[in-house]
Amino acid sequence: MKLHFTTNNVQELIVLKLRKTNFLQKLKKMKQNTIISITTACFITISSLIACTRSQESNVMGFAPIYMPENQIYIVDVLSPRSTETAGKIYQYGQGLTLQVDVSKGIHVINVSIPTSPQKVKFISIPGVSEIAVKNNILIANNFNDLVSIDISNLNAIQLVGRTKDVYQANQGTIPSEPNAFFECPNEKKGVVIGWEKKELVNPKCKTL
Amino acid sequence: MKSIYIGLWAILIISLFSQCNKSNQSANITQTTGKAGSLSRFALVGNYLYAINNQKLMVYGASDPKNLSLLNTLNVGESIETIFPFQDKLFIASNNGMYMYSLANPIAPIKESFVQHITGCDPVVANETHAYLTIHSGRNCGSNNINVLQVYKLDSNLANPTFKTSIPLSNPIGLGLKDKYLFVCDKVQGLIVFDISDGDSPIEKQIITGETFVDVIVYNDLLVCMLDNGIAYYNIADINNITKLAVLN
Repeated sequence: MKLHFTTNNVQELIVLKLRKTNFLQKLKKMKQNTIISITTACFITISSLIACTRSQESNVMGFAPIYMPENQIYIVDVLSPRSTETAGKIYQYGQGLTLQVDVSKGIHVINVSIPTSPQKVKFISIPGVSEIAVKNNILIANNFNDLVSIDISNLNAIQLVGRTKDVYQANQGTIPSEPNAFFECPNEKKGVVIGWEKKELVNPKCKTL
Repeated sequence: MKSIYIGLWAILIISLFSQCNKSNQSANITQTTGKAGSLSRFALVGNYLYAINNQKLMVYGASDPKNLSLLNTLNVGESIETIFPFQDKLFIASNNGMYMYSLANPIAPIKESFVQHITGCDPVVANETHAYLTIHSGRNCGSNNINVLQVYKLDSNLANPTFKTSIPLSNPIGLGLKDKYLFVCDKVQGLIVFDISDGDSPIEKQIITGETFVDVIVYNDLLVCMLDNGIAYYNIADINNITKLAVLN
């Protein structure tokens, strides 16, 4: 799976917004017209309301946002190894160490000094991560719009040693990557979207192209 | 007696200084970076980190990787996807072509060339003579149904790419080079090994199946493969006898 999101997604959101604006403008014009038009507008509104009420009954498979509270998205944590959920990009550091991104969640640290028996040794939790690089035992990764520097010289004492705020706009997934899929429109008040889970949705209002 | 003491002190101080010099040197020697896959959007070159997003190329000072600083931001184009550093060049792949930037001045990369291709998603890799890129179709990759490996010849200055050939594939994504061999991950066909002894026209040599390959890193005799569900390792010391070492999920 290639991790592309965005230009289209942004366009899509813009299209949604434009449609809304166009509709409002049309309504405005109608108001300026005759009473008949007003009646028509009312009729359309009422009938669309009925349509909405009806479609509320429909359950479909789609994607629901996985939220993280805004005050937690900048927490980098070193955890025990875990199985890979969404395999992401890879990086090889020396003969003995591989890193693999788990999209938006963190980085699997893999000891490959015995290539026939590589071992996951740690999982570094980094919300919003997609990219990695290493220089002089310092792992550089994106944590949403921040770049974080993590000392990996001792795999038993991995620690965050630097953070550069707001320097990398990754333009990552504001919507699910699957085409033509229903999804629950994100609600900013619930937190930051760090991923999507497939589940049954009740009358989803959003759909990918 | 006094002069002997002074002499001893002098020797001690000099030897301390020379020790310091030595440790500085060894610190420089041990500075290392690793190797990224072809889908990477980060590229470490010397004391700089280059990163792309969908439109821009960012340059960060990384002489102290604990303490990065944004030095420059350049507009590249639309739908930028991957960045590949080679010698003093950056190869940047976008949905509709390949950009080449010179790093003669590492803080201010200069666009040297752009070759346009049919719209599709594509990473790029390069060696001293050629650039190889794959183009695949899919979501956010335009409406063309195109899945190919493209070959561009570079001049002796790693510039002026000229189109050589296009080889149809099924769903090619990441790719990697090892001497006279090119590895291409095709999500449908498998890991395809091309012989590029003639750089202009790769010859398919072998296909490794059994996993869904997305990207590769060639690291000496180790081939590190990003799978759709994890990671796999192959021994590529003998290209005629590529062996699977392990899979991790």
